[in-house]
Amino acid sequence: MDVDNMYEGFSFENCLRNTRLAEKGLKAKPYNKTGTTIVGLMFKDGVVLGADTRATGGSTVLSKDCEKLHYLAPNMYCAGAGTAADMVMVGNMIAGQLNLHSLNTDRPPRVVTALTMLSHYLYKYQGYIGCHLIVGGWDITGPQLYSIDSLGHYNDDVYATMGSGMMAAKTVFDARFKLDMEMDDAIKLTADAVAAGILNDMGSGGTVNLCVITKDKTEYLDHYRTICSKGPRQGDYTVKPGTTSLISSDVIQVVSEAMET
Amino acid sequence: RRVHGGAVVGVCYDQGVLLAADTVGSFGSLAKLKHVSRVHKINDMVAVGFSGDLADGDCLLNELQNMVIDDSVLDDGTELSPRAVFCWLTRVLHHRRNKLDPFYNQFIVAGFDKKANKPFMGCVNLLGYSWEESIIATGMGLHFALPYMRSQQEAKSGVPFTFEEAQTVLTKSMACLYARDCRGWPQYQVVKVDGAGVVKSDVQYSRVAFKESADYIEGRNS
Repeated sequence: MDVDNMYEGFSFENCLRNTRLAEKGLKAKPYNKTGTTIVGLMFKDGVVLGADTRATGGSTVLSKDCEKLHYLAPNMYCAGAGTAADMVMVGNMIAGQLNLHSLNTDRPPRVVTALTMLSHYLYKYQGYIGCHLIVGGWDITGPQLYSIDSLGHYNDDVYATMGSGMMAAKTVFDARFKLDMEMDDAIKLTADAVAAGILNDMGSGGTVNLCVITKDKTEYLDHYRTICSKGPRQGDYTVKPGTTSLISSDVIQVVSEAMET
Repeated sequence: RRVHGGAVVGVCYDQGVLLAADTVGSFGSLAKLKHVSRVHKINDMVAVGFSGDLADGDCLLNELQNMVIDDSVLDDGTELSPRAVFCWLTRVLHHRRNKLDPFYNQFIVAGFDKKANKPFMGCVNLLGYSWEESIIATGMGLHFALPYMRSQQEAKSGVPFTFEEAQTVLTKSMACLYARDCRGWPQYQVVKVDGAGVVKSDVQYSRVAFKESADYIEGRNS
């Protein structure tokens, strides 16, 4: 790495080397992705964010219970789809920056601050940081909900879905969303939308995690709904000692000659 | 590029089946034909809908209609049953797939089985793979209509839809397809199959309202 000529953003020096290695047959390790269903919904008093809990690497489920709702600030959470590592690191970084900003300005942080920081950061890396986010919270301007893609484009809407299960969840929202819902209805609708993603998308699975953010409090509803459970073990399959009867035993000494090096 | 049709959506209810498809024929991203009929009555017991290549779909539909004419010429009181049509389509599509020259369609066969006195719905795709289900969607409907229909079905816990519920589910699915599919179209036709026969509706319109949430969106990038 040429430290003197470092520039902002990623260095793509190794791309040519990687392509040549791939041609020779080197398979890249599948990285831990969250093929996901994440949703966000604005209701009368605040915002509900929802996510599933499956992390995949290629077509293997690497985690049945991973956390996709990342803490940004006491009044703000973000749900993330995309590369799991990117999501976690970006979430931590933005949370730290928000905290510093909040201490500097002596005010609780605003959602648009997080949005701007995320958008600028992701645009700088031109989509190579695989984060697709739904940022939601409650600040002095009221409930806020935004979705950002990995290229830095953001959108302001009353409900948002991202991830591989976004279409399944979007239909549930399109059919049943109403403005100014009550909290209980909003929670149920969000859980139903994530459930639609879990049941109809192969990249989503596990349980439904929700986060409800209102003016007064932020409530993290872990494992709000389990969609499918494995069920209890039907029988005891351990083999009892003495199942195989011992007929005879013989001890043979094996003499090996050590090799001289 | 060939002219193709979008999603077909089918919902079984306690007394029969509803099948819907929009009326656009797309040529890539050009809405070339605006009044294409993709759901058809075959006889008093069966209706079919197809998505995919319109030429291939029309060819098979023509064959089916000729079979119905042959039946009426024979005039022996028997008609093609829904399962017969379903089986025929499966075999033809699979045969063509084996010759590596598929009919590029997904067909939904909707019918009322008079012997069992139950509605019947099955889907066959271009590979000749077929399945029977009480809710089916093809094309983009797989992503947009099917999850919603499944969630509504699960909420019923094993009880079949009533006619009104099936209608609501179908209307909302078609509205969602118009709203979210780039090749969608607001006009669609519905075919109803029940014990009394097959009825094809006039062209219906999807109503999609996004205006109501406009007040909440403050103009940052939207």
